Amino acid sequence: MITKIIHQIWNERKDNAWIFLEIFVVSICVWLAIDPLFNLISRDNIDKGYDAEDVFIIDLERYKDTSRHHDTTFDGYNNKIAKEKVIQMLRQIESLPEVESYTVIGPFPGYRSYSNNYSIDSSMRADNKGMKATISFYSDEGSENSNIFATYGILDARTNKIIEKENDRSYVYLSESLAKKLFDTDHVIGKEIEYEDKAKFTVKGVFKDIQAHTFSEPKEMAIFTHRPSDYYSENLFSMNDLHIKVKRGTDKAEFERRFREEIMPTLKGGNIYCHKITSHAEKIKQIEKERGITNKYRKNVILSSFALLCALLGIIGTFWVRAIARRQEIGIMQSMGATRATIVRQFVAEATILATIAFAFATLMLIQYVYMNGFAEPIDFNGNIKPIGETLAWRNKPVPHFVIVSTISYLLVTIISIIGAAIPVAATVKKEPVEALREE
Amino acid sequence: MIRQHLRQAWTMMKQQRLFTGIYIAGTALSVTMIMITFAVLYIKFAPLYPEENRERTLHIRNITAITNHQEDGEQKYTHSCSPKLGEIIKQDSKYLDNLSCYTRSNNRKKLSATAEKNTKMVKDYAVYTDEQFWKVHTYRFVDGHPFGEQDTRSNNRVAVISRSTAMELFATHKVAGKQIFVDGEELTIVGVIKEAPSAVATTNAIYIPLGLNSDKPWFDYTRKDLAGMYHIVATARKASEKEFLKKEIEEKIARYNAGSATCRYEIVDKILTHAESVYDREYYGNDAYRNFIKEIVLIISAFLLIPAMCLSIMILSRMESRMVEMGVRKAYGATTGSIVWQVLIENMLLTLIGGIISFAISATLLFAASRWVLFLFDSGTKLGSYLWEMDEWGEQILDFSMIFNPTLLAATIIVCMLINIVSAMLPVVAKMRHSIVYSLNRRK
Repeated sequence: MITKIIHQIWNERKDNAWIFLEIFVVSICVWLAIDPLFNLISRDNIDKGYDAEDVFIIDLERYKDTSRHHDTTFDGYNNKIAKEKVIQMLRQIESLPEVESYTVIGPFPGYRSYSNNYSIDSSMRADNKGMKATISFYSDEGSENSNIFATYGILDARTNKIIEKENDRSYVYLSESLAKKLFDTDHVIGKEIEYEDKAKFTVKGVFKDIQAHTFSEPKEMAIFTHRPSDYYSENLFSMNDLHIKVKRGTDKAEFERRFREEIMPTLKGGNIYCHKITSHAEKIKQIEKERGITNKYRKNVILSSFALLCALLGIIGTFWVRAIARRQEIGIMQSMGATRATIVRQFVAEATILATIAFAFATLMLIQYVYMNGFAEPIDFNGNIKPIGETLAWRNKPVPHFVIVSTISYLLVTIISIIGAAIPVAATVKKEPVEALREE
Repeated sequence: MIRQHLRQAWTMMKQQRLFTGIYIAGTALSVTMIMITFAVLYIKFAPLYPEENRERTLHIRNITAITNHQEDGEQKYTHSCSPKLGEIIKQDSKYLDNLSCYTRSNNRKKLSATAEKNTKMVKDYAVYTDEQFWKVHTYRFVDGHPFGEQDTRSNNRVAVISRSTAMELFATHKVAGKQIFVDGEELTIVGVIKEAPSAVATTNAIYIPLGLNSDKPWFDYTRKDLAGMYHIVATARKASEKEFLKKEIEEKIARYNAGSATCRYEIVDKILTHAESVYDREYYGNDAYRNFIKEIVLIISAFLLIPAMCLSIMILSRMESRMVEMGVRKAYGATTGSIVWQVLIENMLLTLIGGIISFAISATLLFAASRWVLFLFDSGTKLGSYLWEMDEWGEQILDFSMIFNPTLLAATIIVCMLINIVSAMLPVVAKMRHSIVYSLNRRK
């Protein structure tokens, strides 16, 4: 059967060359569009290292000095009255029946992180070599019961339970890969890292790597926790946000509405007030829009759909004309006992073989392209790109990545070719063999 | 003859409905995509109300100030500009036509028709600017006139408001001469402007002479006299003199630096043409612009090439089934040219129908999905600022003239012709090479 079809394709090679050429070009376009799409889509299935499904972010603001709401009583560094007011506000939020935990942080998982230089003393490392490293981190600002681990469901790498935050002093918690990198050993609890000869932080726990940006892979990360301060600064709140986790099963839409309309207007801590409540998912959606991720999705989906739709139209048109031209052959096949399904199968097999050969040639060209230009790479916050080969997930290593993207593209191109061939041929073989033969 | 071909084409269309449908769909798909791409580019770059001077406009949003003090050492910060920088650029300029400084208020202002507290209010940012703003931008006044040089110099308490603000507060746009209260302070309205479509520019509720601006820069601006809180927008006398004006400004700043002991300024790379300002050359350098051009060229090529190939294959297959017809026509004396012409006319008819459909689809899409279609090719900080501004967009995002205009119509026709010629020419010429006998025997 296959040999017969290949002969058939070869006999009509001049006409088939055009279809071949179109599928070849479409294969390349589809591959180039799927490559970045795969990067974007695959990250959704990565274990992010945190759980923000029930998290809401409340923007905290400070009344400007010129605002009529501004009260000078609360001004000044370490203002005890202002501090008490803010603590009351936090307690009010914590006492809401829907709220499970909260944290006061700036950059948050999925959005971005802080970054600073730290040093590790040689005595702390297994190889006795001191080192300096730039560390990405989150900072739990340590007011009252602020708890980033409970709010974001950050798990202990060993026990797989949510990390217990210690409030007796400031600590650092490291992600698995960062701990390994900094200390060259798995036993890191109790070791210290130092910030610019100013402060030392003891390692208190190890958690799973966290996806810092919505479009990147989980990476090395640290979390600093601070003892609830004796001093108070409005900046601590106006420059950070309040993240609250609601209890599982809470009607989130209703909670958001109630919070916005009933609770938020009553929440004031001195000159600090709640400006806006947004769910974590909504915030991430906004961030993706602003950073052009959504645009990239849309552009690539449009481009690949366009290429596939064009290919579909081209193949339908061609197979329709070809099926009409081969009506006599179809009539003879039918009169010799071939069923409609057999004939449709033959045309579909022709289209599949053509698509496969065209895709194989396209793959050769794509290998060359990837060799010269590399893969489409995920962008990070600063617009920098992270080479695929240096990422952690196996599916983003060069060979598996190429195989996966090629397989997806091949399946799409083949499915389109099959549909494109089957529709017109199925319509043509509906005629009786006598009718088909008489028309000739 | 053309009439005859058209009649033939029409008959063919009716006979082969599937082919016609697929051909028109393929063409419409391609032209729709290209039309949308062209329309987005047109809206971003073409001279449109109220930015009809885009081709000769230069923007200076920021200037870098380098201070060197004994106590702090050398410090380099980028700030917005001060009106003094505008004055320096204006002095004895050979190429400058108009120059305006403008900034938006830090906070939204409360605008009302009376001083009473319970009166109807509009909350929006105020724009503080000078009289030349109305020359650089070509806002049309539906009532009154712009404020003048005297108003700016004397800090006269006057204002220009937008038509929607006038309608909201006074229920009429004929309000020149009336009073308006801005955060409780009384100003006289001198003019009312027609809003710009939001896709081109954001029209704010009120425009006030910059001397009345009580906001102050956040930094110590007494040490950095050219840095401030304004953006500068200037027009060269002619579009061709834009680059000369750029050079002139750079030279003036270099001269100013030579006479300043405490602070130097860097302005090279910060004077942007309209196109450069759209694609953030200031932040991302020439790469952003190059990448954008590369992306557009690739996308347009894909939008043209893939459907052209698809249509080519269909025409080729159809030509194969019409070989006998072509053989007969040739046998009766038809030249290859006349047959090619016939096929081109047949396809042109289909392409034009596809073109008309696509024009309607793309216009509908642009109006319906303008909030994301218009930004499809944007990225970086510019995209962020567009999205930020989008919350304040008025009801009218696009104008009909932006889509139904001669430039875009001509572009559509050219694209249709291109698709038609590229897709039809090659298969027809390939099939016409055969002899009459071969053609007549083809299907026996």
